[in-house]
Amino acid sequence: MRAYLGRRLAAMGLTLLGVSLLVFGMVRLIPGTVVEQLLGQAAIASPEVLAAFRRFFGLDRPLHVQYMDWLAGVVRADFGVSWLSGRSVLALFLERLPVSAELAVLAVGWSLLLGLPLGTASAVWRGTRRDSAIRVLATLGLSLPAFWQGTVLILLFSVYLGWMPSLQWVPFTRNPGANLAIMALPALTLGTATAAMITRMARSSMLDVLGREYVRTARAKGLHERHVTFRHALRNALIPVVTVAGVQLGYIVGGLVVVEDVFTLPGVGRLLLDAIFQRDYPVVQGVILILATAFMLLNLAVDLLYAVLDPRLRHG
Amino acid sequence: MADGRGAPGRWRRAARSRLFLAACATLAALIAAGLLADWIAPYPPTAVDAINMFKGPSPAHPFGTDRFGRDLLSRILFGVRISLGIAGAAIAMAVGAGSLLGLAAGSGRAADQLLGRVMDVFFAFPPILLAIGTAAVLGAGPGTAVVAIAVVYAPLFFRVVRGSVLAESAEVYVEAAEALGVGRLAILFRHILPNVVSPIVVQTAVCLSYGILIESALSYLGVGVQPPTPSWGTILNEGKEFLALAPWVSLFPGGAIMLSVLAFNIIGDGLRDALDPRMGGTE
Repeated sequence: MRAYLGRRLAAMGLTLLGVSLLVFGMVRLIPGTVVEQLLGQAAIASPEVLAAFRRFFGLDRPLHVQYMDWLAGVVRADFGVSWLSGRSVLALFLERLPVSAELAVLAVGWSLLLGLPLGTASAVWRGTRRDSAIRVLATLGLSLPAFWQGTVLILLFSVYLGWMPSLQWVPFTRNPGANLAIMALPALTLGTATAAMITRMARSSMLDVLGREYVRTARAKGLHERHVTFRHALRNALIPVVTVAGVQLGYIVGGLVVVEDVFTLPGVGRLLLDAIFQRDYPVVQGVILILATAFMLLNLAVDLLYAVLDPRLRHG
Repeated sequence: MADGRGAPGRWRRAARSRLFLAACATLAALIAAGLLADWIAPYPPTAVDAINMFKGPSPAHPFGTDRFGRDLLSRILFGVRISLGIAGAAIAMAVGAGSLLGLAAGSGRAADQLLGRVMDVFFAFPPILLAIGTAAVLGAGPGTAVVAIAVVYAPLFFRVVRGSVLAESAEVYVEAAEALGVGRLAILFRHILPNVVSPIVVQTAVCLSYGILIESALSYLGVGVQPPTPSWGTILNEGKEFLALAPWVSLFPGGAIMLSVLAFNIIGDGLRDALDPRMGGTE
């Protein structure tokens, strides 16, 4: 197990280096810099002022020097300073993190709550109309664009039903009721595709397990079908489902950008989009790098969990 | 490749599935509507009509009008070309690039190691984040959306083709070709490639649905197609500020996105069952 972990961490380190290079290169290619943004017409009118500002932000140095400087900072958890607000990128990220983390956890939570029973029921009812209905529902869930679903939910609850939660985000610790009222619709939106994916995975995993020898043996022993399904089959069918939920949590990291924009939530996704539109390089670089790292760590955690549950993998 | 004896049976079953057929018919209707938009759209997609701003659905404007009085049905019909066109072009690019790189990785250990590491870097990003990053670099526009989606999905096709090439390379017919002195490139293109087409086809259908979703998301967020070009995501973006006043501006384009994505998802499932049951069918 230790050797497996070592191999995975070494590969991840190499990939992270590539990710940092790609992020840095991509951000440097964005047309226009914060200097032009800040100076506006003055940038064109006065090349001297433009050069002075470029020097101030360190943009006049060779690219490889800028990259090495940035990387050295990243290793020390120093992602630089926002060119617009002058605040540390890490501080900005951490300030927005609670909103995004809560949203992601709530989304995965409700998708498990919905997906597991639906998938299990669909497998138990295989071939019936109820099974078909659940499968169609799952395909529908996978096809809903999050930004449209969010828009429809806002329309339904806020405009037609007059249920208007506060537009100002409130931390859960300060007012749990108000917080959950604000987060309910975004979490529902963000988790729908995941719920659909978990439903499909749970169904296929349950079908696989229900056909196994030990389940047939349990039935042959005269055990009640409900006992066989829940005590014998479901427990084993959960392993791949849990890993799918883990992988989906990673994809939810990407979905945050869209859902936070729809519901105007002050999370990490909103921070990134604003930084892209304002050409605030350090924030764009830092946030993308942190999110990509989180995505990789989640994938690694899922693989490790799977390796723990299935010893064939770590010896393979 | 799917085994020869079972495949025709699975095809017949797919063709008998009402859901699969309905999805194919829906998609064909959407594509036909997009191609014939010049003739069937009641108004030009960018024609401004100040007197008819924010008119609800009516016989004159079945999907209503937007804040410039533009006819929404016409914009959505022309939007088929933009949204499906961008997704189609992007996935075609991803299939081409990913397949070529996948074949290249299958040509030797050194190429496999190098390309595998590079692709790992792209897999380290959540798809939508990579697309937004690419779009931000290239600047908004339809071409940007095509490249951004292709960058996201080319690594996926790389993995599919590379895996299939490695599996096929161990087959007897490849060994036989090698023994006959056939060159590695000829083996890859003439012998192995035709045998890895099935997983590529299945993956293409599924990725087309994701391609439509990502194109719409990019346009919705303002980093993809820009107004007044009528992409479905752009129309939705323009409607979000007037949700209470004119909900139809947001509802109809979203419905079009969902319908096309749903059709591709169902077709993808059907193709998977028929062509590549190893990938995990839905039955």
